[in-house]
Amino acid sequence: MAVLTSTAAEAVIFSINSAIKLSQNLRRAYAQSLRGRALTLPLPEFDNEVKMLTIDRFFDEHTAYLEGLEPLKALYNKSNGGEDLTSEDKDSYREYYFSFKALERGENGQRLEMSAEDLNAFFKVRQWDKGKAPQSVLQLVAGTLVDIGIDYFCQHPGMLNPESVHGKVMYHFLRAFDEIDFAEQRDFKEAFSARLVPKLFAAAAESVADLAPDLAGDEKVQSLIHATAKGIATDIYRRAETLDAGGQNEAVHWGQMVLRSMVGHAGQYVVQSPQSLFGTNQGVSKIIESTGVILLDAILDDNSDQIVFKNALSPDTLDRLTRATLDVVAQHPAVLHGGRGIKEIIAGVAGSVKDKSILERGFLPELTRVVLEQSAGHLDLLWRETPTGAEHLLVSAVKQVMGTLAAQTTDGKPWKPALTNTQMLSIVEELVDEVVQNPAWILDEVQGKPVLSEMLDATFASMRSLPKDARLQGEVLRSILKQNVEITLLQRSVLDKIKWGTEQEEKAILSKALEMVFTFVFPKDARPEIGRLQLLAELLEYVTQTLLRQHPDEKGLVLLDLILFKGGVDFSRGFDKKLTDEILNSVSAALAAHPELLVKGRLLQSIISDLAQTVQDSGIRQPGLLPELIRITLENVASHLEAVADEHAGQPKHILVLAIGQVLRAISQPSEDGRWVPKLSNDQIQEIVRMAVAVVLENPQWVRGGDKLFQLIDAVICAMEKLPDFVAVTYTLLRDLIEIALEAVERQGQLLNDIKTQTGETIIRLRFALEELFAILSEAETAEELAWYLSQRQILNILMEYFLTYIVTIQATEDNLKTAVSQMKAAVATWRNDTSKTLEEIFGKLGQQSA
Amino acid sequence: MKKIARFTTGLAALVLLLALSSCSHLMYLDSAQQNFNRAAALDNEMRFSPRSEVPASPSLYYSTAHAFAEKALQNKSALKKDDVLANAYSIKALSEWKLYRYDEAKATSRLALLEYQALEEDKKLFMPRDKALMEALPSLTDLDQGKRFLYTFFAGTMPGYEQAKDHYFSNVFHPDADKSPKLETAVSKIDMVRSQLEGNNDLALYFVSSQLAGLKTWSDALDFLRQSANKDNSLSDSAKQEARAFVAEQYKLHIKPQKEKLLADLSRLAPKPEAERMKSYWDDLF
Repeated sequence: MAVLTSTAAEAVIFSINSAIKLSQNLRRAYAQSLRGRALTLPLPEFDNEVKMLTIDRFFDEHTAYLEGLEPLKALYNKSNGGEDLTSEDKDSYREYYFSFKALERGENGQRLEMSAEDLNAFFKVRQWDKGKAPQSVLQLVAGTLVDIGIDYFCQHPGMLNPESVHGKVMYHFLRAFDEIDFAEQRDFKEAFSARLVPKLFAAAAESVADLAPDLAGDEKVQSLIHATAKGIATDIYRRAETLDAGGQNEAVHWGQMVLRSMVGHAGQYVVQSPQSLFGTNQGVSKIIESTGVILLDAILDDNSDQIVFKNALSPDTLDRLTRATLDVVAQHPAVLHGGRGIKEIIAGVAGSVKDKSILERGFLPELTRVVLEQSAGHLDLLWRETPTGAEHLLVSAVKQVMGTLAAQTTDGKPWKPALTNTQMLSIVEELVDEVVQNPAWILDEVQGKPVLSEMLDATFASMRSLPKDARLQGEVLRSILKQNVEITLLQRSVLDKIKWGTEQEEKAILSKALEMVFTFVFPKDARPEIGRLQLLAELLEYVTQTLLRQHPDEKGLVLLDLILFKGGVDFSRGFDKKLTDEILNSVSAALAAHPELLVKGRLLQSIISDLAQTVQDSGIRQPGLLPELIRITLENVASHLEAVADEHAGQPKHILVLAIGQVLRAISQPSEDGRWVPKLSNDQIQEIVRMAVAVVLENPQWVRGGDKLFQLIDAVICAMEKLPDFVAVTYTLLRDLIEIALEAVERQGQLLNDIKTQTGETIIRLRFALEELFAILSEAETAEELAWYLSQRQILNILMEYFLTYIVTIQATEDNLKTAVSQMKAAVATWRNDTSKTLEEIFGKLGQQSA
Repeated sequence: MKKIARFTTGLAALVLLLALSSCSHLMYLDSAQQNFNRAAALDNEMRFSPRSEVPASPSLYYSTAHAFAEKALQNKSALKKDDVLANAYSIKALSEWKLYRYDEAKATSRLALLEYQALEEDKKLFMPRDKALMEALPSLTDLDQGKRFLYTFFAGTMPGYEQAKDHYFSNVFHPDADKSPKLETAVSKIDMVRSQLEGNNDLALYFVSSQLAGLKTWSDALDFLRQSANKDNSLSDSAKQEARAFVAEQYKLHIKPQKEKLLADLSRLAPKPEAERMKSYWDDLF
């Protein structure tokens, strides 16, 4: 009872207390408790001093003690002789006495004294002998209950009214104790009741107060509370007899907790339960009794091979566990019986989590809750027979998840993902949910293990490649697992194992892919990049949602290796999905056409890397160019796998890479006077590159050890600068000129030889010829006329061919060059004067003149 | 706030009026029992552990218990209706005993016994502990009185041997069967009440302990008797020797065998460690 300091307050409380006791039932119980109260009985008065007579009589019978102890003997003689002993003598005599009495009992020490506890145990006397009390449990503890009830009801006056809904609930609660069978363990039950029942009463009273009136008034809720109280109390009686005092206290404590939680969720349970459950009076009480007892059993049962559940429980987690349990029971009343019920699920989860560090985090109840929650509605589908008995799929899932987490080690030391409880629980929940949706995660096997287990192994195995300081955040790990779940569902073959490169160990494709990504994002020999986690997330998403979906095999790894190759694609500014897609499509197409390239991973890496660098060096920043160049290269490289060339003592490069490099350099090089630079689209560049590649494959010497291809294209471009400003230089013209030049040079390699112009400049003959030709054509009277000339591709070809051939054949003296130019001018003049003549006629005439 | 206070006070008064007439008697009895238990626990502690510090006087709690019992008994009809009138008398009688109000205690115990008898006959309601206690209470008070009388008698100047011997025969023990000194009679009456108990070892143990307490006083009486002989200058040495022999014989004939029997009973009734300690305690004491 509360200690009151105010007289008025005392009066009020006392009045209310008294009023409360008007309740007839409580009053009877109260009276009964007073009749049965144990009384501490005082003894009649006696003097507790040991008299000399007593000591003398003792030594009369133990004279041996006097021998050799002269002081004692003297005291004895003195006392027996009728002499007065001084106070000191008496004390000394008594000391001898108590010492020898203690010695007789085999003890050392002085006078015995009784402790307050001993006395309390000895002189506390019950009204009735054990087993003969005419009371029920409720009656036995009614006095204490009333005390508690008074305190409580003072704050909740409405509870007093037996007609109130809450009053009825409490009535049902109390009635449960009248129904407990006292036939067995009667003595113990009577003694223990005083400790148990008031505690349960207090718990029930608190919980009932929180029930909404409509719920408290529901007969089904009242029935639930009645049955729960009875079940829990009966279970605790059963247990407590074999427990020591500490164990009994613990059992009572948890009984309180479970009861409170059960009452708190009574409404929810009733709402969820099918009508049929409460329609059968016989079954319902047993079902409800069992629910609370099962929870209590899970908490209190201490199996050496299982986990001590209670160590991990808190009021909150117990509450959630209770709710989950009721969820399942409401939907599957049969789970409380037989060998495939809640008890087995709880025991299964407890048995599946052995790792100490996980248990210490109080994780077990939440895991159990997750399994129970997910089981609701699917229970029948989640059990399967195994050679060792029935197995619950979600328990297996939890076992596999927690087993994988617990098994992680690095360098012989435990490695644990840096997960918060919430994150770890979310992971488990998501995985368990997956199993509910698709039991094949457990039922199907890969390499003799369930798919889930294999997927987890693959995931966590890859994480061992992470540097020690690169601990993944829980959310990242969660995301990885989620993505891995998805890819595994779609492409089971990602769990196939292969040997990669020179590695001896077989690894799952999924695991190797993740490992490659981790190694790329967290290089061991480099400082971590800012934004690496973003890159990691994007790469992982790409790998699992794009790459491995399309290529769940070794090819997928090859492709991934190509894009992650160091020095290859530049991800320094983040992940470019479009670029990666394009590259992979290019490579993939090439590989599809030429599967033999798959075994040339190193060469492919080199080509891609060099091309990327080439594009980078050219300064051409055109999206989509690199993948196209890669595609063009790979399309042609299959038949020229070994066509590599040493380039200026640098790393050997494939001739096609060198060719493309020279093309790009030529078309991107700034003009000398800044007047004109071709501005080409990707398609146009590709077209030129294709022309160049075709020629270079036939004439690899053009790029081996020199830059003839560059000079050729550069010559064309430089020559075009000589065109008058009013001429609109088209790509078509450029392409044609390059094509003509390529063909010409292919035929006449000497066109690339130098020639000294009239201005004293040394240029290659090709350029000289082109510049002179353009100069001649520029003598046209109008721009339209010049444009017309330039558009006459066929004529130009012939002019050019003729002129170039001529240039090649003559000695490059000043006179010869003048002659050649003059003849060309004459031919052009002829053509200009009479465009109706055929070129053959013109050149025939020209030839005659020349000859 | 003042309105609330006035309302609460008014309500309390109303409720008090209604309630005190209905169940306050139980609460008074409850309080009486609780206070008595507290007092008895302190009492026993002081007696068995003289060196321990007891925070309050048992008398204070006995007085409180008695007061609450009397308050409860102001509503005898209600107590009777709830079948606790006898219990209220019992706690009152026990409190009176420990408050040295021996005659009142005996009278109250008789009232209690009448009520227990009525309960048994009318309602078949048996309360064996309280009934046996009430039956034994006169003897228990006699033991108290005997002890107090003995120590009062020998306080101050030591009486002569003959005077002391008369006291012994009158108040403690007399060899003639038709003489029944209070102390000897009390010890044997308690034994009789104990023998009529059906079960209830706890209560039997209490009675055994009470008998041992009485026996201790008996033993003290013999010690006083010997002292009186030793100090009685009117006695010759041989007379003194004879007196000491008488005391030794009394001890041997009455104290020792009874003590051994009671200690054996104690062991039999409570075969547990605290009983062994209790047995040793008494064994050392006299």
